Amino acid sequence: MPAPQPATAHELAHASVADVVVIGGGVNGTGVARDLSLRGLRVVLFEKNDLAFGASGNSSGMIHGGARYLAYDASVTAKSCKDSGFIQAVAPHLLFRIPFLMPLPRGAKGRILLELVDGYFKAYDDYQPLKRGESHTRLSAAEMQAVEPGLATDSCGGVTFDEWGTDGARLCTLNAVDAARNGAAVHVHTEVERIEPIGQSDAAASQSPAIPRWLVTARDATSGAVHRVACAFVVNATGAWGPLTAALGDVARASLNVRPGKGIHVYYERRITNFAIVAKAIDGRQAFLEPWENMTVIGTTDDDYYGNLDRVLPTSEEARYLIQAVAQVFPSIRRARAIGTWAGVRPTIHRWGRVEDKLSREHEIVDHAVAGMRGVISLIGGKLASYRLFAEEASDFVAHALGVNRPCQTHVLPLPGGISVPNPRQLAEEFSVDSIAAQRLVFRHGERARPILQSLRDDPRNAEVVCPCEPVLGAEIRHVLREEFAFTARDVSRRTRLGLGACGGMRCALRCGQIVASERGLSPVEGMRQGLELLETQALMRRPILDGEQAQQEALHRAYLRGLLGPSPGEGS
Amino acid sequence: MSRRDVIVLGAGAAGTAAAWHLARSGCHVRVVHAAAGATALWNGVVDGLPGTPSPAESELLSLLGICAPTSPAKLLNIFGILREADAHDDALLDVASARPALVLVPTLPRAAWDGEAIAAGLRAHAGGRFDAQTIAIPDLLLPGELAWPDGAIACALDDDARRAAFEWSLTEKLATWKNTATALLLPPWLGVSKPYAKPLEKALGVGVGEVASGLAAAAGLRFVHRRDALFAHLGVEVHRSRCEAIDRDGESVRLTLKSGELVTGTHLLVAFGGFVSGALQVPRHPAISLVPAFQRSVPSLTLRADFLRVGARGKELAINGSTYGTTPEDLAHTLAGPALLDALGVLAADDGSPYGSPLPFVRIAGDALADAPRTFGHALRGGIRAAQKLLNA
Ligand SMILES: Cc1cc2nc3c(=O)[nH]c(=O)nc-3n(C[C@H](O)[C@H](O)[C@H](O)COP(=O)(O)OP(=O)(O)OC[C@H]3O[C@@H](n4cnc5c(N)ncnc54)[C@H](O)[C@@H]3O)c2cc1C
Ligand SMILES: Cc1cc2nc3c(=O)[nH]c(=O)nc-3n(C[C@H](O)[C@H](O)[C@H](O)COP(=O)(O)OP(=O)(O)OC[C@H]3O[C@@H](n4cnc5c(N)ncnc54)[C@H](O)[C@@H]3O)c2cc1C
Repeated sequence: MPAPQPATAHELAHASVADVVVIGGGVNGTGVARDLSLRGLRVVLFEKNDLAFGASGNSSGMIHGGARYLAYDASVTAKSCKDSGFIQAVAPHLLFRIPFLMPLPRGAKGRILLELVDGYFKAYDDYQPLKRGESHTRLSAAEMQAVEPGLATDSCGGVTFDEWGTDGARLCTLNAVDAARNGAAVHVHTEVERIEPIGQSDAAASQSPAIPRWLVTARDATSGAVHRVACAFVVNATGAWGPLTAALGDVARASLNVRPGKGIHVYYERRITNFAIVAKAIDGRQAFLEPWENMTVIGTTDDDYYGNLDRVLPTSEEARYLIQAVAQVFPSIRRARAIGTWAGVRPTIHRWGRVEDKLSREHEIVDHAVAGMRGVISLIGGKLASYRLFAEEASDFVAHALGVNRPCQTHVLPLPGGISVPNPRQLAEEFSVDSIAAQRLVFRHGERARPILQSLRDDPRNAEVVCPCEPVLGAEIRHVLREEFAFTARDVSRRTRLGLGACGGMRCALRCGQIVASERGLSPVEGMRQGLELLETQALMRRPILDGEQAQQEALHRAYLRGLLGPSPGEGS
Repeated sequence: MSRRDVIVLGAGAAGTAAAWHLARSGCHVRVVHAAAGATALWNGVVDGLPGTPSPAESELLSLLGICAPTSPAKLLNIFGILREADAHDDALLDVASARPALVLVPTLPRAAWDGEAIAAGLRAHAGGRFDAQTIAIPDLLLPGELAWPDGAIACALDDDARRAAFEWSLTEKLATWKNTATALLLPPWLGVSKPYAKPLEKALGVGVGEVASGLAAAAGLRFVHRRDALFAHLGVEVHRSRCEAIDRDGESVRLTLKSGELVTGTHLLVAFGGFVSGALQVPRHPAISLVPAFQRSVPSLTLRADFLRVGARGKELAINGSTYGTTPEDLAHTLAGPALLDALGVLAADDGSPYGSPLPFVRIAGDALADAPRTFGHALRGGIRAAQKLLNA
């Protein structure tokens, strides 16, 4: 492979200067950007799609304490639980408890399993206090049935255990917003296209470590504008894209051992149980059903994926695989109304020859100095649950290399909105909004819900419930457009969950596009295009699960849009 | 002509048109319908009626309060999108008829109405052919009404006293605009049982009409109201219950209703629509007993007689690739492309006779028909034509 050409003098003259460029706006990229900017470093973050576009916005949304690691290394579990506790401390509004039920099959094997599982979770109980978790409980078959009547009746009993859930897109957004507050420049819809050496000698660099060694070139997809940043350090936090990004410098793709594992979820229009329930798929892999935010989610698959990372689509076969697994333990899932799917690709650390599911999900910092690229690292692997820790480790590495010795503060400084959690009912009364709308707003914005609601006083139209399914108020849409790096209707949807509910965006997407256009001074035609783009995305993601009632909804959806837009060419008469 | 006993299944645009034509031709008509179909949720915009309507169509359109301008109307919707239509509920504002056009759009302290965005949309979509300006009419609604749904306001305006107050606040405001403005665009509120656009137009001296809104608009409510009045006038026998089975009983067709009633007739006109409470069941493929093939709409309706077959694009629903049956990906759509779901319906040859053997005693019309264009105009026209065919059989 030819070595990248050093940057030209002309390019350098037009470059801005930063200490660190972070590539990737997932939870790891935004986490590092926040950590480093809190340490006083000048950070520029580039995200080619939107914040949380990748695995971070398409995960199962669980902040678990790592019970699975207990079998081989209890210290990993302890670390995970402690970090789950830290995330709770800095973003208390953004976490919700997910109590799990694990039913075990009837018969001799099940009874033995129950003893083992009971013992296992007894050991896990020791770590629960680190994350405000409850101890596990062993339940008889009758007790299981009593707490969740929807369970299949063929278990011999089981256990409960306690985990937490979160919203990955919000987590990324809050980290990015806080990074920006601390001086970072955050550019979304801006793809890094080149990473070139500036041509400093190693000697010069070791004398003053903060001297720029890399020129990063990125392009804004909307305006076409090119950003050039000269920096001392580059952090590649592009998850499953990692090898592609590293190859923009001089790293052979194969040297980054990332195994891309596709995982899908199917979600249902409401919460049909208050427990997450563990199930087993036909091939023995674990599946689950979880109450998540205001809906029910089942997940997840894990298959090698070498397709387009910018367009990951679930298939109906994958959806059926999950539904079949979950129906074993929760039969009525077949009667629930599935309203959509999402899919992400895990950046899993590669280990040859193991069954996919057993691959380590641990994280690793790859220092490309080995490949002759001093000052470039790649973050691979990781979990939502351990993003803060991973970001801390990466930031320690970078800070050390740049000779900065300010300590990490991300475990003590609250994320935006995380200082206190206001009482939603009080807010609902004070601002005369629907109490569910207030509750969801507080979940997403913590104490920043109040200033958002205050805008209702300036303009009553801000009280408009634009998305009645979630619900999302006009005020929140304007807020995320102004304060949270949202530029399009789809960006708004990612940050607010607008359009992701039962009506699939039918009632809100075009209105959201209209608000985006008015906020950003775009033409109404562009606003409409963005609304349609959101609808199109949602329609694509619904395709694998269309059935019965949802088919009616689909036909209604189509009729509604035809009604608004007129028949498409070739249709109508 | 022998007297026919016709059952019309469905009372949307297609069923209503068929029942009307059959009843005035001297048939005994029984209409069976349940719940809201597409027409009851429809927004008042009519596509699929290009050209000049036939005399029968014109007569029915005016009975249903629909006007068909000589050239396509231009209608603006709640998202500020301007689109053409062949005809429309007469309370909607046809922007094209208000030339030279300065359209006034009220601004209101109301969440569900963004006058500025609608006016901006009209300017952008009309490409300079129309102008739009906003006017503030703060007292158009009472403070309590500001948060009501559009449909509720439309019903409230059926009341004479409330309507007079509404008209008064508009008259006052419009006095200064009389010589410049040509039209006033209002939210979808202009009455349900007493359509109010035309009288208001007269009172104000400018064109007045509703914006085309989305789902469950006042236009759909007006349709239901006018349909019921029409049926009462014609003496049509109406059964409001879900049909759960269709089969044959000797020479006649028999419908089993959820209410327990049996309705029989010599002829059947199927107009049960395409979805909302539609009634299609995709037959199971005999080779696949494990997993039921894809079902849609009301699975409880069984077509015991095999004279109705369900399919798409002239064929029975195919069982393809997947071992489980038709994949949802095939049925569903994105906005970009066509999909089976749109074409799914009762199979019929071109002349409206069912798939396989053309049966003289059954006709199909509207969205229920496989590959129907699914427009109001097509349903209405198809309803009349299917009725004519039954009469000629
Ligand atoms: C199905 C599934 C379920 C999961 N469930 C959980 C769970 O329940 N709990 C948990 O803790 N973890 C879970 N995970 C793991 C977790 O989601 C990921 O490990 C984590 O989100 C990875 O974050 P990241 O920032 O490294 O990558 P990503 O979130 O994928 O971010 C990478 C970003 O880089 C951007 N990018 C790519 N190339 C460029 C470029 N050239 N220029 C600029 N930007 C670029 C992409 O657009 C993307 O936004 C799950 C993962 C999957 C797939
Ligand atoms: C929101 C929306 C916007 C639209 N916009 C436009 C537009 O802009 N332009 C346009 O041309 N068209 C538009 N349409 C489409 C148009 O409304 C339909 O194509 C048309 O109304 C179909 O009429 P139909 O009589 O075939 O069916 P429907 O109106 O659906 O009537 C079906 C009838 O059958 C009855 N029924 C169904 N199953 C049973 C059963 N088992 N037992 C008893 N009764 C049953 C129902 O109660 C109903 O009365 C729109 C539709 C919707 C929903």
